[in-house]
Amino acid sequence: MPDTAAFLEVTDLTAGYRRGLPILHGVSMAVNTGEIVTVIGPNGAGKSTLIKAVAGLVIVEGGSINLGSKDLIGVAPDRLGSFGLSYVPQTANIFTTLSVAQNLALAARRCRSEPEVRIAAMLDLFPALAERRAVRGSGLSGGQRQVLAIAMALIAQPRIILMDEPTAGLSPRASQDVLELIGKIASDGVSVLLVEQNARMALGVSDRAYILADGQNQMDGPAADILDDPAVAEIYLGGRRKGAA
Amino acid sequence: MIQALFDGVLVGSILSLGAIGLTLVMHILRFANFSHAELLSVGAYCALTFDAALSGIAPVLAELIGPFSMSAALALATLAAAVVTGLTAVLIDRLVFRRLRDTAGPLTMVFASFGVALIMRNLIALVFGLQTERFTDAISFATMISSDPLLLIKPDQVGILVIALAAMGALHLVLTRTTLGFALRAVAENPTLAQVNGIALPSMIRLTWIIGGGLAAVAGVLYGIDNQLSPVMGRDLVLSLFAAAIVGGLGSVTGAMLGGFIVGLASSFAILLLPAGYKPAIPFLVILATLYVRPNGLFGEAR
Repeated sequence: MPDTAAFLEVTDLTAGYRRGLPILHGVSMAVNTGEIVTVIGPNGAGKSTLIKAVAGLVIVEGGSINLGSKDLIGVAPDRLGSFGLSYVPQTANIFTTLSVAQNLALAARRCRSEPEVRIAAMLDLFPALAERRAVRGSGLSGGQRQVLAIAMALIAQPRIILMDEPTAGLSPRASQDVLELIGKIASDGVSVLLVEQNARMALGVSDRAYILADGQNQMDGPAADILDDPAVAEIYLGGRRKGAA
Repeated sequence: MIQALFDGVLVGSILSLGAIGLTLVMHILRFANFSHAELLSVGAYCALTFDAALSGIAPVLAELIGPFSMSAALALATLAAAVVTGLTAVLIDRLVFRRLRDTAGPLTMVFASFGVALIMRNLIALVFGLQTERFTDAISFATMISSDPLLLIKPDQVGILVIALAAMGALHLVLTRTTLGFALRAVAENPTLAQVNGIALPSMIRLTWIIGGGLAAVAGVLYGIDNQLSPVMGRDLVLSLFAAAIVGGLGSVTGAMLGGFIVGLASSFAILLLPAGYKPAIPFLVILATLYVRPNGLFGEAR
């Protein structure tokens, strides 16, 4: 059940892409400050829909979404930044026709402080981006694109980041790098709500996890417990873990 | 030959200005707006009205500038017409297209744009009459730059070319050097991602209409200076504008600029090779030839 002191709290959420055809049926979940929470489940479970509902990108027909004391339902996606929330979509999460510097400049429009200072901070934090600041997004590798997308989310100094499958299409090495980066972000006090197909790797860096299936909650708990649960491993993690009974 | 080259560049510069707004709207709002060419007529007739009003209020403004048949009144009238046409485009969007955007498909939007074009064209005819109009009765004499090969250029044509290139240059600077320009390009590429990066889509859509309408007005005035004003000038230009936008690649401002020049040059050179009656078919041939080689246009990206 959601923690009552949670920073992000979703309660009994019914949402979908078309009115009257919900994908999520009464989903509840919560993310506490500085926590990494991963949502896993089979294809079509509603994981991405959940994260898009929080970001205001799908139709919410019931339930509530609260960020701190603020109700997020009805908030336009372009105002998410003022609530301290950033969203990294699964695909097409950078502007490929703009350069790295232009992508960052655009994302920095949301900054409360000096945009130039925040751009410089991101380029310091991610030297690979600094080296490619004049390169168009279309010229970046998959891993570099993901790092740029995360930098664009971080530039506004959010209190929570929603990430939709940040390791999709990446090599195991690049995936590990991205997940380590997510761990580092959370250690700085930023909450992360992560949707991942790469469940084992994601659970490895998460504090807690929720399992969705058919648009409904199936299970939740500490990520380590879920990772070690043989039944969960069998159904949702692609088989038993090595060494499991 | 060199005369055809100059004439093609001249016509191309006007088409490029008109095609920029068309390609932006088509890319951002995802529909082919057949009423866009009518904004050239709106702009031209607005400028005609403002020019007459300003010349009446302050006759000194009506004096011609140097060798041109343009006056300060017409220059000010063009700026005012650009603003009014941009706002007209926003108004049309609010009254028609915005209402359909969320509920209707792209095809409905296209048919709606045909309806809007007919209404705009006939409103202009109703107010100004079906006869042609000119900004001035002054004659701009051509200067012979070269006798062999023959090249005749009017001062007005040089002015048109300079104004069109300056307007395109200014837009290019905005799009490539300012965060506002980045935002417009971002919305054109991925509206959802633009939104979650803090860009208010409705504001950007309004800005797109204002820029597209403003540039169309300038194009309409320049066309009117070089030719004459007529309520059907939009209808006459619509296919060439679409050809320029498609050849350049939808969504690409650079492409629309280049596409305009390609269509202008092709039409101009075609007259040397084909009977004049085939001129209206040239834009189609240019579209076919380009799409055969590059299905997304010269600068367009696969979507």
